Amino acid sequence: MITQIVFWFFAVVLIGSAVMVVSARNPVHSVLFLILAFFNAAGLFLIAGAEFLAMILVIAYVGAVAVLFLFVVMMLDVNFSQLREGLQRYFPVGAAVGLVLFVELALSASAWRIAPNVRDLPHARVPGASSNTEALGELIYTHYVFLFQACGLVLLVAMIGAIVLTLRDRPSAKRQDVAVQHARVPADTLQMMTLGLGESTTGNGGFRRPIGKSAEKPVSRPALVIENSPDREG
Amino acid sequence: MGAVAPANAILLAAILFGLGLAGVLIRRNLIFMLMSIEVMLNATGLAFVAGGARWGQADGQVMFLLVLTLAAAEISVGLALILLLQTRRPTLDSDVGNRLKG
Amino acid sequence: MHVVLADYFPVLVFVVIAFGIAGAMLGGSLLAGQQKPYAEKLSAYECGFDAFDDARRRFDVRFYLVSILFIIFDLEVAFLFPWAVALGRIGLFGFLSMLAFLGVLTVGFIYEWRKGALDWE
Repeated sequence: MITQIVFWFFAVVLIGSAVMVVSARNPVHSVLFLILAFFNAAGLFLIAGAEFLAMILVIAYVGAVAVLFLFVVMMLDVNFSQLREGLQRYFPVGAAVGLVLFVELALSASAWRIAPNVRDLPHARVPGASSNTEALGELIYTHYVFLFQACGLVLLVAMIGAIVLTLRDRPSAKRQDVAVQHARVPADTLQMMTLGLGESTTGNGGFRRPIGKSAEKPVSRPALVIENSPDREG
Repeated sequence: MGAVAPANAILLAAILFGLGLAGVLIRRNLIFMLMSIEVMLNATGLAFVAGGARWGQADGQVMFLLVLTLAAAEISVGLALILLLQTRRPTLDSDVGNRLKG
Repeated sequence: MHVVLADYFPVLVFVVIAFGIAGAMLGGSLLAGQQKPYAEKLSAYECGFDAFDDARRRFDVRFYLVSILFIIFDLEVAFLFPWAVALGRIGLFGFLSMLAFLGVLTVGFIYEWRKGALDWE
């Protein structure tokens, strides 16, 4: 009884927030309603006994995906007047397609009968798993190993795709290159010179000047060491 | 799903999926379309978990983990594409971005 | 899989108490405190920069890259939890399949390291 009440509560709030996600004017409101929808879906998962998934939904979706959405929404300057322009034009088609699909799904769900001998079919049974997480763990890594590896490949593709799309190579980035640092020799950066009395370094090109091949390396800035500094006299 | 009939959960998933599909078709802003896709993915996950709970097994939950992974990959690449599109075009209207040649 | 709703009754109690305490603090300060507002007191305090500005300023795309990489490794860690719990029962095969999964993602990690996606100026 309590389960029924909680189920309908979560279901109604979930549908309401999904409607708001689709129809909200402001994208920030839409993202916030998406977060609410995720929380309610997590509650439904709890009712279904999927505790681990409920927590993962809150952590991965609310903690990461929704935040990423907020990030992008705040990053882009959204033109609010343009947002609803084509809404009337597309509303009939979109609503009709959505309604037709819903009616089809509802018909197939209501006409759903469970075959009487389906219990005899081989299932991936988990005998004696003490918790939901353990039951999940026993299935993913052995019985569904190909799906699991496919998940890894999908994540790899997403990682590489995101880097390729968003990474700009900026030459100004000061990154450490250990090999260049070790290959440095004093002759690259130092120049020993003897100055006569009364001569200044300015006449010889100043303290800082590019010498040799170290000129194109931004990490090693040439410095001049003077044996007897004329600045004291001049 | 405990005391809840699985048909109710499937109906809920159907409503959510229809809503998300209508959102993808109606909204023209790409960010809203991505969020509607999230709603649809959530609906499929709900159906999977409800179906798995009908048999008292964790198989449906494994499928939802797969859906979760796909959603994260789709979101990261999709939002990166939106960011790139925004730098090339002044608008995020999906009707404007119908040319492949940028 | 039993109905777990009863197990989460403490969470509900926790949420109710949290809302109660937060509401009591806000309402109590509203009732008990003296309210003498003026313009300077009501203005938002921000250290250093202007308090009222457009929130939608464009910032660097590198923040976005970092959060994408966070999502992907977040999911990788999510896959590690059931594995750690069930490791005693899935045997060597389960162990090796997780190692393969981690190996695939390590390839991606090496890639992003070499591309300099983790560098910050």
